[in-house]
Amino acid sequence: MQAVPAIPAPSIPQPQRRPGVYWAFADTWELFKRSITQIFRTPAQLVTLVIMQPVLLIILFRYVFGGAVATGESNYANYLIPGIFAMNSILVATVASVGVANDMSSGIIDRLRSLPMVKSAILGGTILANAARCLAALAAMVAVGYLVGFRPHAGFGRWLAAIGLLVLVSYAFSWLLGALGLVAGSVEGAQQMGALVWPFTFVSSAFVTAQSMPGWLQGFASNQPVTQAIDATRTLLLGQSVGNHVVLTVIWCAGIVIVGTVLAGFLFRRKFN
Amino acid sequence: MPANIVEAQGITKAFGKTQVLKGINLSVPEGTVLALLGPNGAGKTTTVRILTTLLKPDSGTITIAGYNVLREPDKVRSKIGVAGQSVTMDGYLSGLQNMIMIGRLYRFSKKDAKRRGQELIEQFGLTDAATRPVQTYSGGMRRRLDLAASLIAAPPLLFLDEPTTGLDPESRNTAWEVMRSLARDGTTLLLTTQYIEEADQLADTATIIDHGRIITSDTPARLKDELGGERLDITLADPAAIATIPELSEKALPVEIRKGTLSFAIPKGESGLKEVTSIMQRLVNEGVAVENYTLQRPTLEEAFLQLVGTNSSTPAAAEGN
Repeated sequence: MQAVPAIPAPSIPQPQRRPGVYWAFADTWELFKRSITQIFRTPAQLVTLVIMQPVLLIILFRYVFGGAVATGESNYANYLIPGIFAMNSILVATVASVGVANDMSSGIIDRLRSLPMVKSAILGGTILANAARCLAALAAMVAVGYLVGFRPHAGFGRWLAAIGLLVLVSYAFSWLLGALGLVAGSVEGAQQMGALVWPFTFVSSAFVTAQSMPGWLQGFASNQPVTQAIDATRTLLLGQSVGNHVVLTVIWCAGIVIVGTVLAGFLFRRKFN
Repeated sequence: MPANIVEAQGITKAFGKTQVLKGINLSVPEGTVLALLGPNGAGKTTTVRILTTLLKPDSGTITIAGYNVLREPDKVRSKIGVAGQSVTMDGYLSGLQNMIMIGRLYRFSKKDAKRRGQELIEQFGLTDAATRPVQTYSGGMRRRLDLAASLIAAPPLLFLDEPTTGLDPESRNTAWEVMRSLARDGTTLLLTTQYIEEADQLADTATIIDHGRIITSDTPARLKDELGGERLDITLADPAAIATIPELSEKALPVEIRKGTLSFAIPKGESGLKEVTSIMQRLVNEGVAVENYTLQRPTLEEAFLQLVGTNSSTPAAAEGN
């Protein structure tokens, strides 16, 4: 240190006065910007999570397993790609546990907790950034999907609904997994926790129909939230009748957000009291 | 508002079965500097974390700037600044981005947050690094940024947990200047330190803490007085010569400051003068050659060691002086 700083500064700003709800959003936005900056400052993570992983999933399942799978759909890409979209939403959500665990094990959590900010924004910012990550990955996947033969029959409205739904699914699961990041203890622990989503991504209608599974699995496979999200995405993008899949997915997501936020609040308070 | 900006009574805290704090009372008058002095594991950081709302005590009442820490933590948070031992910045964000984010979280407008951030970055000599990610900063730069961040809202009360641990001597001196300048301008400082010299240099009150208890609390000068009088150090030309005066070697303190140096505790006042005279007379009479001698006030370090007990080894104790 060279020059000795003259303190205090000439003018100390005055805090703004706004209602609490405003600050809940404003603080989340600040922390969201921070997470987005982190993503762009780690190009390796950006490339792996947003491009490599989703694209590899498509190529793997389309060409490695695709030939051996019978789904009744003449174009397997049309069956598979919406499933991969939804699967990716869940995989992206697992990043939330890592992000949260990382914050908890670094000094920044002390700084944030010593500020008069809305505390839910600490997780909220990370989780909102995850939704943005999901959106970016979707863009890459749609492009690659077209290259491997995905030919959806959907207008603008259906596309918008499908994308909105996929981001919502990612956001909802991010809350649940972000909450688990609070108890992971370490970044490595949080990475291991990612395996918790496998039953939901694989025992689903993403790659094969639930009917092709043994009876004891069918009940879970056809009713679990990820299958609903996959079926909703698939019917939306393939121009089929959506039935109650969209409504059920939204209800599932709402439920998961409620459970996730309540759990996160509980675990956060428990951790710091 | 009470005159004491920090008023804490009977803070206790246990982690599992370990009782870390066993009833801490602290009063810090507004505009003063209090140094919480103690060895590693004494409970300094736990105390600071409780006072700064980061940790809940098991029992005790704490009022900070007139607000109850447990009931109105956000009110307290708007009155305090905290610089901890660990770096509390986002490594991927630039220094300025960190400062703006923290300013925004203090509810400043975008414009104010940016202006205040730039101002402090300039004051702490970080302008050249302002747009670089913090993870590229050196340790000293990060600590400076951390201190700058704790000043964003110009809080009337600043908590500094071991602010100079790990800093090189030059950075430490600058940090001291910053703290002095803040204190001059009326900021109340509560700092923790393992370094007696730091308390001696900066604090109005040094509160000594060990094993979760406050041992004593007084001005650094009076703490030194508590040790009693002065200390006479005599360096002999031939250390072995002392053997010729057994009663002097018995009287010497059981510490050897330097090789061949004898130290004697000298009582205050006139009896002290007689003691010094008699020791010197003895040496002269026996013809023992004295290379050099000094009479000095005990350091705060010695007061500290005497109070904490010599068996708890601390970096401060190991450093000597």
